[in-house]
Amino acid sequence: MNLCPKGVTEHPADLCRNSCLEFRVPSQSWFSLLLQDVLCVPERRLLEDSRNLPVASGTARSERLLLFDDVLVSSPLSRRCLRSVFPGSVLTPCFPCPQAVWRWKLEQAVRQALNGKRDFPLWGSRGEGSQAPSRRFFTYAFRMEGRLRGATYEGEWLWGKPHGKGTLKWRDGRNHVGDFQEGLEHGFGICLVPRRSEDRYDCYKCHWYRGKMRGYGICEYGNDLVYKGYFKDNVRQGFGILENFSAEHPFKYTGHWENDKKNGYGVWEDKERGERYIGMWLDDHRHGEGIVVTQSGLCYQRTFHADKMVGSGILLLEDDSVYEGNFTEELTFVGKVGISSLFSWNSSWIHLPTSFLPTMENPNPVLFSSQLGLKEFPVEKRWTGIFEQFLEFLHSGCKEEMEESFTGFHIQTSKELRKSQEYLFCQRGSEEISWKIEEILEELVQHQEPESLQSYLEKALGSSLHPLGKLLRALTVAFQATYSGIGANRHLLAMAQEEVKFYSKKIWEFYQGLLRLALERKGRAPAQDADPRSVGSSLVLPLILPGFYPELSMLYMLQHQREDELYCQGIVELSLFPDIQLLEFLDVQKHLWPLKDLTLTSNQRRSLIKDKCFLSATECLQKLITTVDPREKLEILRQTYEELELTVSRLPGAERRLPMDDLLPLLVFVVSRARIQHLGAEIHLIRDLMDPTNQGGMLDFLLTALEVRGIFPRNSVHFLQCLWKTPWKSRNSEQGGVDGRFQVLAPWNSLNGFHGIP
Amino acid sequence: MMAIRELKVCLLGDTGVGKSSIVCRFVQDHFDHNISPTIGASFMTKTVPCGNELHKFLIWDTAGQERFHSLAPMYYRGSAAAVIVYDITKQDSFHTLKKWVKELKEHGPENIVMAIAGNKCDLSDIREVPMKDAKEYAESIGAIVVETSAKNAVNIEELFQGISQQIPPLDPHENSNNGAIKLGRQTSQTGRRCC
Repeated sequence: MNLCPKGVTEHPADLCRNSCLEFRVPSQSWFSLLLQDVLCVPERRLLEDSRNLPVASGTARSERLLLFDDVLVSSPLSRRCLRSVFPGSVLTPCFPCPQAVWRWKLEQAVRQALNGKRDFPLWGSRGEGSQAPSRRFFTYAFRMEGRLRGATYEGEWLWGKPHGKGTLKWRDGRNHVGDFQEGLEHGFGICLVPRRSEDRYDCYKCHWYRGKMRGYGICEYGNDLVYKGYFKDNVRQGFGILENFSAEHPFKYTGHWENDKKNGYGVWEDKERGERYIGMWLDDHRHGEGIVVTQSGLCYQRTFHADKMVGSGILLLEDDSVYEGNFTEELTFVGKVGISSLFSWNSSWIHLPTSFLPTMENPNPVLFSSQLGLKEFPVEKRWTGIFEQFLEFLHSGCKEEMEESFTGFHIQTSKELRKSQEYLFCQRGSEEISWKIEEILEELVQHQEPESLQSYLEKALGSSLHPLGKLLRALTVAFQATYSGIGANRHLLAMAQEEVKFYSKKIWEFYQGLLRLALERKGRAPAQDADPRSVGSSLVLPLILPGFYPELSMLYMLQHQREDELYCQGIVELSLFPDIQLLEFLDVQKHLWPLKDLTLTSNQRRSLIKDKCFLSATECLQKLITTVDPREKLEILRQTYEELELTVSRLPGAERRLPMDDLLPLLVFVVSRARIQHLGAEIHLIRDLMDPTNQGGMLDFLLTALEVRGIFPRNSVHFLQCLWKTPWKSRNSEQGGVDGRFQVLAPWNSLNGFHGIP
Repeated sequence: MMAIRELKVCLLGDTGVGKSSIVCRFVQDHFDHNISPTIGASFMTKTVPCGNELHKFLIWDTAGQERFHSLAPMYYRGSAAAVIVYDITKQDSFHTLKKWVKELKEHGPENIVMAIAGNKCDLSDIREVPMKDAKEYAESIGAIVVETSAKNAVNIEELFQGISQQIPPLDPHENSNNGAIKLGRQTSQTGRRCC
């Protein structure tokens, strides 16, 4: 209901519509008219008139105040007598000496209007309803206020300011739903912003801090771009992922932002070209050192300047040839090119100019490490944005509202996203879903002992709600963006390996930070850090490894592909041998042949048996690929050895304690029978990621013993050649004799064991 | 508590010269509070006092067969000492020993302590390698030399004591706070692995 006839001066206080009292200060000329014509309707009840009851002693007669059940009307001159906090707050009359009755009546009228009741209590009665509630729910359109001018707010208010949950709508179509605090967007909110040109919206699902976007957010832009990452002061800042899902020119950028622009270390994947750029950015341009990996497997390292390649770079082909010089993005060389090759080279990939002259200026493959990016992007400088967020959270003293926004990368699938939004928006602090930070800190203090610490960390890192778990998810996202898919290029192995180790170090640091904070809260002095840092990170490393294992093991496989192929070839050839022939070939001492268990005639043994000897050890070794944890892998190695020893110990006359001269041939036998395809990759992965304190110890020894795979390729092929040329029987008969050809082809095979089959 | 230093020692030498017998004898009669894990006679540990330190020997056996020769660098990598064993009754084994010394000089760790053990000195009546030859050779390369008998426990202790004494004492600056120091080198660079 609009009470103001056209032309009436409107005071900003003409609010409180629907849910509260209207407060009108019409001009003097209109005042009497109002009283007669408009205000006096049968539905409205006059509650108080300052003529009957002066507002304060000594008020002039011209100052008139009328209190109706839905409107408060004041004569223009008495304006100064009332002060209110707008909108919707309690009006506080500031008369020199306000009448208690007036104030009471005013409050009651407000309360009543809010409740929509007409049960006006008697003067003097006390009770819950005697004070008008300070928190209200109603709609109000801002007309004068600066920032919110033109906006309509529907939602919860406190002391005249949007506070709590509400919806804010602007005339231009902007729409904000979410949490407010003291008149500003604060907490989780969803904001729709229409795009200028098209009939589409940018949708921000984001955390806000005092009216500005801050912390983790997701923005679905109207042009099919999606940004997931951190904001600060309404712009993209810190770590974030921008992805283009539209059909034309799809891309994905994972990296750092500054002032809404790509800046710092970042990974850009051009899905159309099948290329990935890993390197430095400045103001949305590739700028600085960068590595480009392509789908075809070639990669190069260049210096970029505002998206243009400058200077000379290094180009690595799949076949390990290395080109050095200046080349364009289409890989056309400009000027002189230096070529060196680790193995062989062909130039089929490159459009060489006719004046091309291969110069072997830099043919030193030893000098050139085939691993890229180690110097250019020190591991401490990568993904700083992720760690900074966590650090900020720690420094804030682990405030709960900080925790919500410090990282949201645990949200992966859309289903989880929905769940998580519910959690963020509606169920804030609910115990069933979130781990309260107090509980987390309490648990930290309780699980300091090495045994419980391990299982606690495992649980924490596995949970997407624990701060450490969230951190790990964010790191996984960054890692996958770099090294999965196109990024699975063996020249990046060292970078990836270094990164995983660094993560474990960082996570351990953050764990210690959390613990220190928890202890401080309890008023206890933080325990002096007795154990060196390496102990902690080697505890964390196996726990976080599963998240990075697929990419990492792929890189290891690629790096060691060539040697593993040779070794596999050797194994395939060895697999043609029956057990006895293989044992003999490997020079395993006769008394260690575990054939007494098998009730077969010597003839049968020779020709038939395969995959029977040392079966338990073989099967044990095969479990190596079923686990991710380097500690477990080493344990499997130890068990394999135990199985071997156990089998041998059952044989009469064999000494239980095997010297290396006996053990190694047996290991070769087991390894060749276990047929683990990527054994080389496995060994290197274990060695690089195992606890460094194992160095030189028993487990290191076992791992080194497994390196026997290295002798497969070179030897078995030769041996087979001569095996087919010299049939079994004829070799057998030449006891002690030396077959010249055999000697040449397999000089390593000392003929000690050749005494025929009994 | 005395500082424990872990020392990796690798055993080199022809097959059948008694490499592991020497270690078995050395380790056998030791009294260790902690039961040290072993891998048969291939990997054994023993802790001995030396000055104000405890030396924990991590003894890595190697296979003497020629075909496994290419694996040897992985075994002597990061070793503080190498015990190279020959059989005094076999001239061939002494030749092999010289080859090992040469390889260690060229590819082995810097400052590796070399100890030459002429085993089976209980069989001196069928000796093929004169004591003098071994001594002269050892002097020329600056190695410890003893003739041992694993069977009769002759000179075994002395051999390892000799190694202990040759190990340079700890640099106080490098001493980490818990007193332990790793002699094994951090060989985690993937790019340079030898196979």
